Amino acid sequence: MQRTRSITASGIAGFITRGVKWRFLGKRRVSGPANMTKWYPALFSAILCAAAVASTLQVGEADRTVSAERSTPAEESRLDVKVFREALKARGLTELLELHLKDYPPPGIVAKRLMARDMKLAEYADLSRPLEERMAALAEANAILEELLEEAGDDLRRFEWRFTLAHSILYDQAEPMFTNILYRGGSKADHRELLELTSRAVNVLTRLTEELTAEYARVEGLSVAEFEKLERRKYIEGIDLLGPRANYLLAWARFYDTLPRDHADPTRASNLHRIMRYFAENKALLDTPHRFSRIQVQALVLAGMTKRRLNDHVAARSCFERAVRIADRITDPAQRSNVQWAVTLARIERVRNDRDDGRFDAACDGLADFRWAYVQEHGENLGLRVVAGLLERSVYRAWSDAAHKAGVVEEAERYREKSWKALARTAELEADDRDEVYATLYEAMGPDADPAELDPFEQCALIAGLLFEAGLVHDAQADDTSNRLLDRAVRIGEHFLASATDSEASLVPEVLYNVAVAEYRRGHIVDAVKRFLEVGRGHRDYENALSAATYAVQLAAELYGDPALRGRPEIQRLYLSALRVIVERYLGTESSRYWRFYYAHLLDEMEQYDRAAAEYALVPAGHDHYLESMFMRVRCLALGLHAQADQNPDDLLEIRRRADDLSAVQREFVSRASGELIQLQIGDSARLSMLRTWVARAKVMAAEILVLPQINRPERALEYLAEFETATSAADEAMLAARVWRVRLVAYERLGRLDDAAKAIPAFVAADPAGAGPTLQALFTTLAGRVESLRAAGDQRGARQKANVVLLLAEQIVAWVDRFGSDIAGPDRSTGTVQLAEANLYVGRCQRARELFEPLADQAADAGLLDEPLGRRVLVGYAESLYQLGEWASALPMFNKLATRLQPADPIRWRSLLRDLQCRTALDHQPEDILRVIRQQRFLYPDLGGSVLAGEFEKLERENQRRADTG
Amino acid sequence: MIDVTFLLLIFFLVTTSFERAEGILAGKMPQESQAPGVPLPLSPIVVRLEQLGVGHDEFVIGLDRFDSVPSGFAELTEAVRQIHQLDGFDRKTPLVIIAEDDVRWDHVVGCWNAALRAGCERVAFGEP
Repeated sequence: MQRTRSITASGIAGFITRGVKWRFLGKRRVSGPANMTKWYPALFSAILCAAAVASTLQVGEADRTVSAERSTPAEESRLDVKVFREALKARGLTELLELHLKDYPPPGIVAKRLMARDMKLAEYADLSRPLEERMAALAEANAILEELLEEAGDDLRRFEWRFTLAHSILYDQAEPMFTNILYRGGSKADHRELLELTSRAVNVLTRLTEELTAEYARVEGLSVAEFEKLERRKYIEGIDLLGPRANYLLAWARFYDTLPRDHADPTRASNLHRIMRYFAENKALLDTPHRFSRIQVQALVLAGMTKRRLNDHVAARSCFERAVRIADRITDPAQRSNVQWAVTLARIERVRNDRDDGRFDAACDGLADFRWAYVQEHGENLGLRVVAGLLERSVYRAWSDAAHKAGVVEEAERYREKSWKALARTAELEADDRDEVYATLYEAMGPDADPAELDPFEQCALIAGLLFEAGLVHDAQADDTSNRLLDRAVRIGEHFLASATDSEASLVPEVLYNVAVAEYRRGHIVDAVKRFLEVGRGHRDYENALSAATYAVQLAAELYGDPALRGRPEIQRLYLSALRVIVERYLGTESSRYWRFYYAHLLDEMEQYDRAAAEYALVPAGHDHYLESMFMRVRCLALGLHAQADQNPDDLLEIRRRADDLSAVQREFVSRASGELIQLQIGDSARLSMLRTWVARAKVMAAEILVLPQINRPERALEYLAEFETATSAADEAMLAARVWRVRLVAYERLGRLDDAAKAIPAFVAADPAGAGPTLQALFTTLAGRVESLRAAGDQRGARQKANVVLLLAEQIVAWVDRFGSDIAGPDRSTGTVQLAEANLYVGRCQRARELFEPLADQAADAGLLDEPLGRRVLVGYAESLYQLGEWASALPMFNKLATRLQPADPIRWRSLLRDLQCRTALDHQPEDILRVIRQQRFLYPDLGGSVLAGEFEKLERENQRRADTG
Repeated sequence: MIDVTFLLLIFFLVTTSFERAEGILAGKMPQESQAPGVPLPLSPIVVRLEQLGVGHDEFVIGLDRFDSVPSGFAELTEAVRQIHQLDGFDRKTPLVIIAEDDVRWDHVVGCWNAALRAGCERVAFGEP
């Protein structure tokens, strides 16, 4: 039976990926201190005397110059084009701006370039665009500026352009990379991309400082008039301001340039020394109180970071502590906010500095201080929590390495374990935390990392990362790549599981889960189900345990539903295990409630009817298949009852208990179904039809139970079926008619309504022509047995009454054998004919019986089948028909053969013995001989084959005694 | 010499007395076909011989559906004679000897002789 399920297999793939989905795998920013660009307005306003930016005036002036040169359109008199364009940019209406620029292009190449750059910057500023698109727009904007610098190298605005370019490269383009590296270690891609950008930024700024130096010299050589002219235009002030700004920015650019470089790279050392030289030449940056300079804290952090990298740990520590202390004293909220990123970085770097200096306890204290501080400032911040976790791991790793070098192996191992558990603890809080941590680690490791060199938690991250990456490339063209990544994830996972120690036990369920996901994506569904099952069965505390159990059962259900696999026992076992786990171990969950029905249904299919009925009973009322489960429960109870009646027919107590259960459930089902039928009278004809079928079938099942000999309530069975034909659809009637007529037939017979029974037989055969044979045969056997019992009990009248029905059954059986006997399993022709002959005997049609028996008796004698049960029935029946017809001489040898060959325990032997002596009496044999036989038999077997036959023997004895006495 | 030998032979032939064979061994077994008409459906007297051990005398004699358990062949003869006195039984009632395969032949012969001594006219062997 095909059923709908609430969660489809196609939905699994998407659902599963949630286990390893990361929000920001690529360009992520650390929340809180990420915006590192906030410092530079402060720089302008304080150290460099907070002058207005000359460049804007210069650009405005240029625009004015240009605007005077071109003819202004009429509408321009009413529209300030510049204001209009700025407004479009500010509102992100870049497409409108583009159209506007096509109609009113800026005059001159410089204005065009600047406008094109502005357009790209507007795209970059548009947060509704994808990040990749925005970053590409930014790169184009900077490329335009670089082209402009090449084309208009003598423009007075080139200094500001160059500064803007360097600043944008550093703080717009390179920021995600150096943030990643500075806070989390970064990926290889981060290092590669950052190196390219910082190199460009350093070059741009170096050239700027060189050009400024040259410009200062040129300005010094100007006449007073020319100088004053420039001064009035605030040009002099502008380039005066720009020099220190460029040098300060260059110092930071050089620092960022060291981050992606290897320690042995001479440029790295050169950069670090140049920074220190810069600070030596500009001591005021470090010493001027922050309240005046606004950059003291930032400068101290930069100096500290530089010194740490030059291994001057004492000086570095001093810088960091000063930076933190100064920042703590800032009372102005805006100022505090401006330096927050620097303070955070100072705390992080202080921990790293102590770590590098081998002061591990101090590093741990610093770490605690960092955690406390970020919670104070930012609350529970995921990004900073991950940074703290990474930091802690690095401290314990260094500690472990130090212990190892010192030969303290046990301590080294302890710190090693602490190192990966620091991150694992961070990841335990929420699934998102783990994703974040994994993403960080995976980015740093890359997909080809050697698991043997990774700690257990990194291995988990590698498996998750491989899964995630496989998901990214999972399309038709990239299947090979995807499969390779998945196979690698499975291999690493399997190795981890095989070698996991007790201390790594907490990671096992997740690895199992991810291996299962990988197997699923790889198409190894059976393996996936097994792994999901392991999670669901053995790791209930794991957060994804229920999901795992649910996936296991969904996938197993799909496998079981596949016609090609359905017949395989291992698939059925797998499905059963999955169902059992979800319903037994996750009681009370929605999944458990949902799958309960399917668990019951599978047990039903496995013919475990009692268990299936018990499970159907637990299907909740709100379930989609609730009514169906009630019906199936009725069915299972009925089948279980029939099995019980077959196996232990004498256990009346149990059979009746089961019948009571069935009756109650059946009544409840019919009541509920009838209620729904009333509501469904309009619409949903399919459901209506199905419900009617279930109700009809339930009634028939209940009626069948009522005619079991152990229950024997035929009148109630007939009541159940009284309205069957009128209340049932034609299709259901055709399907159930044979069972209904069988019940009626048995019920009529039980009630002694033999006329009704006789009428029911043709209807029964007509209802199920092909299948009627075995049922008719079973009925015949039962009824013939009762006829024999009645005859044995001496109730000839009762026997003859039933014999009429028996004869009708026998005739139908023979007709059925003629029609279907060779094609369908059932009674064979010989048996059918013997039964018909016996039935004729029962009703006194002896000649017809003789005609039927005679050929069979000849065949039996020829085939030597008289020792077979059917052969004996033929012989005794034939002899009986001859006896009844008065052909005693012919009957005598047959009875004699049966009487002398059969064992005394066989009832046929005693009847044959009686008939033998009755034939002799009728044939006027010596009465003394007959008397001698009777008396000998009475001596040897006092009951003479039972009370009825004993009476017959006595009667015969008296008759022969009389004959003997009269001579 | 030949004459003397021949005379001695005649002497021994004349003087030697042969022991008479015990009982009478029937030359032919009773046959149904030889009986007139259909035989009466009488139940035979069934004598069972069972070897209990390897010793010569380790055997037991049984009579189906009769209480007596003869301890020897003489007692068997007496028991069969008493059965012949019962209503429905006489010397013509068939007696069937059923001996297990491991029963000694001389016990079977002893049983046969006991039946003949009791006057049984129809003795036969049956399959165990």
